[in-house]
Amino acid sequence: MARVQLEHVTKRYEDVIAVDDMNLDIEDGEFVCLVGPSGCGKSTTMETIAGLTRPSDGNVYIGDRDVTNLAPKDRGVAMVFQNIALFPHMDVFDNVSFGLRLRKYDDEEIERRVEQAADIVQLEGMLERMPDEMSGGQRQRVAIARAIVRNPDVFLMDEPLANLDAKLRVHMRTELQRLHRELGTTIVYVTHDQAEAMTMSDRIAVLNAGKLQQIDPPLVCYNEPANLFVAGFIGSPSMNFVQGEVVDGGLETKNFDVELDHAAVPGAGTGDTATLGVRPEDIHLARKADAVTHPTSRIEVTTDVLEPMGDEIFVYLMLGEGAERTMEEDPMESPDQLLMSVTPDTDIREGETVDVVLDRSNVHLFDAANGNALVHGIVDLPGSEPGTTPTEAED
Amino acid sequence: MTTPRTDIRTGIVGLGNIGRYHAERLRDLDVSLIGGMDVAAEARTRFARRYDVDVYDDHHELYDAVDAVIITTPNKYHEEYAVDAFDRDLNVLLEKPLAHSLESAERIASAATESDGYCMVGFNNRFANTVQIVNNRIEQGALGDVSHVEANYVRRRGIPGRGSWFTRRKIAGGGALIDLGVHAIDLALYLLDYPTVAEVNGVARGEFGSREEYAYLDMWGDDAGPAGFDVDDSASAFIRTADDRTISLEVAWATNRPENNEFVIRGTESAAMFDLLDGNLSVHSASKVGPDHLEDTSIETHQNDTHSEEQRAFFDAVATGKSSTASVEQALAVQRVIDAIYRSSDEGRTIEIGE
Repeated sequence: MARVQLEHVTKRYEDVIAVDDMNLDIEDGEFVCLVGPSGCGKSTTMETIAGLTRPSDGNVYIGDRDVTNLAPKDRGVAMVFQNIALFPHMDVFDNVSFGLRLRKYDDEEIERRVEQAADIVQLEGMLERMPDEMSGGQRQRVAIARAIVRNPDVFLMDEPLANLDAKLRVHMRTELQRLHRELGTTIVYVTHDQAEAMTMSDRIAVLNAGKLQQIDPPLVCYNEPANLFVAGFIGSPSMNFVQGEVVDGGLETKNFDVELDHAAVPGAGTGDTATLGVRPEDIHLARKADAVTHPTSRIEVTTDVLEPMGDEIFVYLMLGEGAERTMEEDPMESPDQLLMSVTPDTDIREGETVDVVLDRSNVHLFDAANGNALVHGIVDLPGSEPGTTPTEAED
Repeated sequence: MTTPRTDIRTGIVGLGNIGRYHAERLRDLDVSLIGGMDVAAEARTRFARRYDVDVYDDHHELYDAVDAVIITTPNKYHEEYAVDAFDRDLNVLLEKPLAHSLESAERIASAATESDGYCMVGFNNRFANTVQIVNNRIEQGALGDVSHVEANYVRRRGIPGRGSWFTRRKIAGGGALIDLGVHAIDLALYLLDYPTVAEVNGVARGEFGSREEYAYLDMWGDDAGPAGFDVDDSASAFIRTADDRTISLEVAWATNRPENNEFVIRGTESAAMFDLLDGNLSVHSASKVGPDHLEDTSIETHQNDTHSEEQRAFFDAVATGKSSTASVEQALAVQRVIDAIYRSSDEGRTIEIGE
């Protein structure tokens, strides 16, 4: 087991900067997911830790060692990739023990380790099977066993479940969590699947354009995103964003106002442009908002498309002038549209005019200029009490 | 520590034409050929008779007896024989291409990096005197910044035995592109100092091999007709590197054009042009020294045996205990380009490498 540190790591490919002055400190035994959109630098960061690519600047440490210039095989890391790279002509035992044989372990030790690893990933009785006789999930378990037998200080996993079907992916997620609990080994895990990152990680590192945006426990990234990028990236469907102007006593947006003592929000001055962020589940029908202890004033909206998902319904809401228009823009970016999620038993139809409120404890404000978060929740701020009671009977 | 070449016990896996071609050259190198392996009894008998060595139908038995192997099997079987050789830390000279598919190539490359053995992929054209002269000139800066390579490996009617493994996708992984293109792409990237390839756009065609009335003068191997042909017989592609240098690629087993294996290496100061078929090499530039003029210089050199030079480089590296896998990583880069050209052709779009 070991701590993994990246110090000012930059990776340049000719004129492209894939990783830009990255500092990461992953604790011994921690499970950290690297997430971000395609091309954000997450795989390059992983390859830099693995030694598959050398940083243009900066240093990589594993445990107490500076491994920046060490070959992959000398770093004490074991890798599991998306493509399950089993040798098709070797049975499970030979596949799993390949690396041990090259490291000249004796037969007894090889057998002991392979059996132990097979036990951990539940492949007992399958050691003589050939890869083409196994399912995708079983093959991925063989690949993980191959990593386990090396007894690495760090597991590096690059989208290891991406090629599995949805059901198996969910199953393997719990398997990997169990594996981490049993072995306690540091795991660095690259994924574009938010559900994987949210459910498995101790901390999520969100990357964009080669830069680290935030590294925090999943719920902190979700509830207290450091900036607009993290706020928009973490959570599905994405957070709604509405641009507004800070005025005396509140934030004025194109279609609604939110009461606010801006003096209590660091970095927000009268006349500044700020972005309000609110997640779909923090928008409530006013008539059903009894449980919302800190609602905003009512906002009149017209419901547009309804998307029943089974466990919830996504409701596209049209505000102000937008109410007459069809959906053309991304609702997350339009000042005239919001996306709300409601429970499936909610009585709601398309084309209805209703009032909604936002849950002030989960309203976020961001500096519109640099995207950095100004405040998460506008409840305890002076002057933030709602102007309207949400419990009034509707209709 | 250097081991004399005579002490490097060597075996050949795959005793067909290319295996025998290698065996002939080993004699001149003073390398001790210990034995050979092939699944075909006929090939084993012929090899044993000619070289008076032990032959096996199981490569594990051969591997017990050798320090180095030359693998010359059909592409699909490279992985099994190469990986098992790496498993024993044997030194491996692996015929091109690295594998029949990108996935297999990745597994081979990964196993090679774990092994203590030296591995070299058989890009023999790099060892041509003309190529070495041009490479030296590039390194010395005589061509200026090299920005574009025209890479051609075009036969007019040269499909290898229809119905042989060469013309079957399942075994070869492709046709002219994987067979000849692998050389042309490697050579172009080698002369550009192996930059990162960003994207490729290409078309691979099967226009001649599938015809009943395919007309030709000579065929390497037997002709089983169009039934045994399911691969491409020509391909054209455009390759762009991450730093915006480019390669235009033309490969063909068969096309209606005179054959050529010509490379034009275009730099900002001069261009070098050579044809591997006839060994012609020339350099082209322009000058303002005196009245403006264009300069074309013809360079003569020996046409050397590139396979012998390749073997010499391999065994010298083994003798000095080198364990580099640089050529495997480069062969993997070539395989990525080939895979991307096939995908580009299938999907009708530009393919970004790594997407």
